[in-house]
Amino acid sequence: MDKWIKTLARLLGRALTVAFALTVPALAIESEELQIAEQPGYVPTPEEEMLPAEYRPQMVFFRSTEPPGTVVVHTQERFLYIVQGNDRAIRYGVGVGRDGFQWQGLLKITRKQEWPDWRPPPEMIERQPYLPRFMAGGPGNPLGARALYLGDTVYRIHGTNQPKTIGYAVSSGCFRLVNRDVIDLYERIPVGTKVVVRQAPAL
Amino acid sequence: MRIKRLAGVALILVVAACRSGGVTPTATPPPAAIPIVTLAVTDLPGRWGLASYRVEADRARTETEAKSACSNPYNIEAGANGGVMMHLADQSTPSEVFVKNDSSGRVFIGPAGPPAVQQDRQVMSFESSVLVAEWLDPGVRERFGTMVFVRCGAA
Repeated sequence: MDKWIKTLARLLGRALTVAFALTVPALAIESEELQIAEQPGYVPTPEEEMLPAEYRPQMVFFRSTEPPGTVVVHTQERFLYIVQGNDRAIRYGVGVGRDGFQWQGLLKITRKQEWPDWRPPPEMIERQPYLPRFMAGGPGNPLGARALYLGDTVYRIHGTNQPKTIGYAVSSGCFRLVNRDVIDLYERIPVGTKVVVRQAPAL
Repeated sequence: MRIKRLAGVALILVVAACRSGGVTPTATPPPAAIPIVTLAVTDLPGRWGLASYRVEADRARTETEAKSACSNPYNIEAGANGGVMMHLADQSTPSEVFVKNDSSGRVFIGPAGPPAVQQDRQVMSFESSVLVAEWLDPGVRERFGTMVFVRCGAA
């Protein structure tokens, strides 16, 4: 019974966190989930960080009514765009939330952090009691080289030490880029930037 | 897509193979000072806040974080054979480990047997209820960094 109540409370808490500016997730989204555990401390090789061509940063055609500088994330496409104007955008490959952890809405970047610290979630500590409860930022940190915080939610755009997760639904609702790309994004995006998260595919 | 990725990797390897760096003569580094540590196995049982860092600049705030981690502490219990129950790297269940000293004065925590084996942690310092340890296995040390244990409830 206690377990059921805790689960309900956790789900309710998560729903409340997202509800303020977010709409109901699209139904029946096709997503390719990657079952992979976090690997705290793992440092990827440069070869591992070399993404397939479609997920590398590139200028693309992108029709949008959003003003230049806006970040648009297409969850289903696994792409993040920085609107450039003139129907152009810089596109990055991202890893997105697993089914049940995806959302859409409009937020702003409220904070930026280089080499963010990482705190494993309690359920991870339960499985791996030997993990430090706090891991200072660094190359093996699951949050990677940079983090951009979305509103006052638990969600972030951040780096990763698992490049192979790019292009997959793997996270708890955050958006992850390889470290090289998140560093590039971090340099281009100031605090206050509008972030639009969409689930429907682009037309 | 996998083929493309492999092709990309192959290209990197080829490019990497073209790059060469000169050999820089390096002086032999002086031997690292051996930390003076006094630790008995009876110092270990109890509740500890646990955190880790990689660069020395993060040590102080990591200690602070370890203290605040006492809400979800790492528990060390006494073992059946005079040791204590702690996790070895990547082991989800604890096993009995012991405090071991080597002839040069280094102190380790690890399984029964000789000191300074791969599964050991080397204790770098133990002062004022703060224990700092590093895994001897370089791969594990690289992944987890330097571990800071702060005894919960210590002043």
